[in-house]
Amino acid sequence: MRSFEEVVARTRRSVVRITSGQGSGAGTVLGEGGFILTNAHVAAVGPLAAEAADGAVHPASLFALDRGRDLALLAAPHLKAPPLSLAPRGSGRPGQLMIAVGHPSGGAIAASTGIIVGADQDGCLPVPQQRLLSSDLRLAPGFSGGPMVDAEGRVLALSTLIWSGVAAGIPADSVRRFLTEVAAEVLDDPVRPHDADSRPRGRAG
Amino acid sequence: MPGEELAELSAALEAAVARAGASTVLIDARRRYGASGIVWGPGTLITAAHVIEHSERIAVRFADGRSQRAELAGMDAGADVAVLRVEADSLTVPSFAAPPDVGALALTLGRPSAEGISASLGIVSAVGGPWRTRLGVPVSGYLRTDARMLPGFSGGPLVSARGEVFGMNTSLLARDGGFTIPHAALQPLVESLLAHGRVRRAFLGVATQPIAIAQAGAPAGIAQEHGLLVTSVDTGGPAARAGLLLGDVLLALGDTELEDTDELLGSLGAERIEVELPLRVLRAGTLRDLRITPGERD
Repeated sequence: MRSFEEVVARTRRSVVRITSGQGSGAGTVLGEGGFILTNAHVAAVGPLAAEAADGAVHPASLFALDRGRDLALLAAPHLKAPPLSLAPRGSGRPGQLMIAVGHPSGGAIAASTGIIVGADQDGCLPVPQQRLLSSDLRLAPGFSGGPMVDAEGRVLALSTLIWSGVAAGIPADSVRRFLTEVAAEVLDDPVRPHDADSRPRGRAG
Repeated sequence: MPGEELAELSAALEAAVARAGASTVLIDARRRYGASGIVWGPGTLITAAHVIEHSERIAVRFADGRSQRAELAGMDAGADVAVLRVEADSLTVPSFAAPPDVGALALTLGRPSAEGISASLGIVSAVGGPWRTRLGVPVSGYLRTDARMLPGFSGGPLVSARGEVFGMNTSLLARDGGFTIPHAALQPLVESLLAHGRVRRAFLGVATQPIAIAQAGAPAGIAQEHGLLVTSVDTGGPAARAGLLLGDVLLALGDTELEDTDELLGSLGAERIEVELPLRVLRAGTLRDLRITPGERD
C-alpha cells in the first residue's frame, strides 16, 4: 500500500464499534462468519452490540473470554465485514510503522500512527502477565480492542492500554495462542460459551 | 513519499533502528532503571552525566548482550555529558550524520533494559545554537525533536532515517521533552573529557549584562548594536589585571563581537586559557583596546 490513507481506508472496514453494558470500545473483525476480537475489558458486561463501518448495528454474543490476556472473542453472525489477517509470526520489531484504528470516546472512526517502540520495556510498561507491544502512536479511550496494523494492513497487535503516554497492545502472537486455545475448547465442547477466566486486571481505555 | 510503498518506509525505519541500535548501549549506573549510551569511538562511550549516580560501579551492556564494567574517563555536569572507557575491542562505531534541517525524520533510540532496543519516531523540530544549558554552560548547538524521550532514553542517540547519529539526547537540559546535543558540539567536550577528565574553560573574572550601544554614548562608526556592560570585576582576576573597570562596555574579544553573554561564554573555550587577546571596550564614550589573558575556570 502506498499511503497511510489507503491503509486506514482498508482497515476501517474491518473495525466495529462495540457497545456493552458498561460503555464502548472497538473490535477487530477476524475470520469469516462475524467473529470479532476485542479486549476482555471492553466486552465483559452484556448486552453486546457491534456497529459496522456502514452504520448497521448487530447484536453480538460473547464466544470466549480470557481476562488474563485481556482478550475476548465475540460472534455477530449477521455482520458482513472483510476480516483482517494477523501479521506473520515474529513481526513487531522496533522501528516498524504502526497504525491504530479505533473509536475514541465512542465517536467516529479515528486513526493514529507511530512506530513500534519495543516489546515489553522494563520501566516503560507494567506487564506482569504477558509481553505487550509498545508504540509511540497516540491512543485514546475507545481505541481499546481495535487493531494496530503494519504498513500492509496486517494486525500487529490489539490496542489495549496507555501507560505514561506510551500505547501498548496485545501482540498478534498472543492473539494467535488465544484463538488456538479457543478452537481446541470448541472442539471439546462446542455448546457452552468459553470462559478461560483468570485474575481480573485494571485497564485503561 | 509519493510513488513509494509505505512498507518500504517501514522497513527503512526498522533498518535504521537496527543499525544505530548496534551502537546504542545500556548504562547501568543509577538506582532506578537503566539509561542509554552511544559508542563514540574504539573503547569510548558517551552518555548523559546525570545518569551516572555511582561512578565507581558502572556496568555497560552492549547490543550483542555482552556486559562489562566501564571506567569514567570524565564528566561535565553543566553540559550533561560523560565519557566512559571500556576494554571491549569490537564495538560498533556508528556513522555520524550531516547536520539536519528542521523537518528531517528523526528517531530517538534507547536501551533502557536488557529487553532490547527501543525507538520513537518524529522529526527534527528545531536546530539552533550556540546556547547556554540551564546550568549555565555554553554549548555550540542543539537539536530538538518531537520524537519521544522515554524513560531510560537519556544518553542515547537521535538518529536519521538512515540510522546515522545526529547527536546525544538528554532529558535534563530542557524542562519539556527531548533535547539533543549535536555530535559536532559534543566533539570538543568529549576530547577535553578524554584528555583532562573535565571540560576546561577560560574565564575573564567579570559579570556583564547586554546593553544597547546607543545608550552607552558610543562614538560614530560602531556598527555593533549591543555590547556587554561590566557590572562587577573579580579582585585580582584576569579582567582586573587587564585594567577593566566597572561601567566599561565590552565590544569584542579577539575577533568575536560581543553582543550577548552567550557569545562571551562561547568564546571562552579551553584554547583561550592563558593566551593573551585583544579586548575592545567602550569607556566613557571612547574606544579603548586592551590586552587580556583569560585564566582557567576552576
